[in-house]
Amino acid sequence: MAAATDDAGDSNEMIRVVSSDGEHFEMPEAAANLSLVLRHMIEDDCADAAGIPLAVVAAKPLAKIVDYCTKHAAKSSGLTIEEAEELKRFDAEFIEVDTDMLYDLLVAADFMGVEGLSKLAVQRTADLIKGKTPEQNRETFGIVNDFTPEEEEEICKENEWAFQITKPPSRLC
Amino acid sequence: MAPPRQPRSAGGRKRPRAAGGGIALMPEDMLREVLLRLPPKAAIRFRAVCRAWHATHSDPRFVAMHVARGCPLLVAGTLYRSSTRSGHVDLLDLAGDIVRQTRTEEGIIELFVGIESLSSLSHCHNVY
Repeated sequence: MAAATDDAGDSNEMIRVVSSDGEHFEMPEAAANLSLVLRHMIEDDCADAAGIPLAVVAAKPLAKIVDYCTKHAAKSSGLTIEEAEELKRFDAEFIEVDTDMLYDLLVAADFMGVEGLSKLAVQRTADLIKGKTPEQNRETFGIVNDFTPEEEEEICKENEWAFQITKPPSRLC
Repeated sequence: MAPPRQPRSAGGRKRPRAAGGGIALMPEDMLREVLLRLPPKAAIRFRAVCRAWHATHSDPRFVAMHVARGCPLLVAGTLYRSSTRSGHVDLLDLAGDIVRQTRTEEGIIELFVGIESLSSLSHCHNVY
């Protein structure tokens, strides 16, 4: 392995992690440090050849998280405008996932303490919600409507204007 | 050294994933973060989706987070008269979204007309 770079505390060491379903992944230490949990494990000398076990993160989301952290760690400081734009494009493409993967990423990023990814996934969820009617949101996210018809009518009546999606109301009710 | 230990969660999640997609089971604090990123109209519709989302919207912790974010609220009102005795006022935020629609009764209308005039005056003063 190459010697450490001139940045204090930085190293080219690879950190191994193991998903809940037993798959092994590797990423540079700088990438692993973007996860609060992995950083603490590394600081506590718990990162060894066997890999850090992540009991609640399955291989599919973990592969995505390793990609995210590796990309962001490589471009962490002194970004040019073009590099910042490229990172933005990477994020936009990265988070174009179905709702199952989105939920896996939300939970995994939160569990691992990857702040940037948590924000990205939360924003993506908000973007999917806005512009939809309550019924469309139930369909998108597989949510059961557990209101009674009376309760539902009451809620819609309280703020009827908010349920008109295309244009603002010109009159009340 | 000691046998490998499991990392502690940064967020402390314990909720299991539901079959067929888990957004419906999103923990409440995560749901609050999502809600904070919704424009006002979408936030109102959010609470009509299910009981859990309604509870998140009504939770004082959400209101506190919203206030802590310093989201600018009321900047203008537009009066709609449905008769000479009553009407309603749209309260807008800085982005121009309607945050709330408030019924007005006789007497209160005069107050809102006053606010509207003041708002216009202030605008003119800034322009000239």
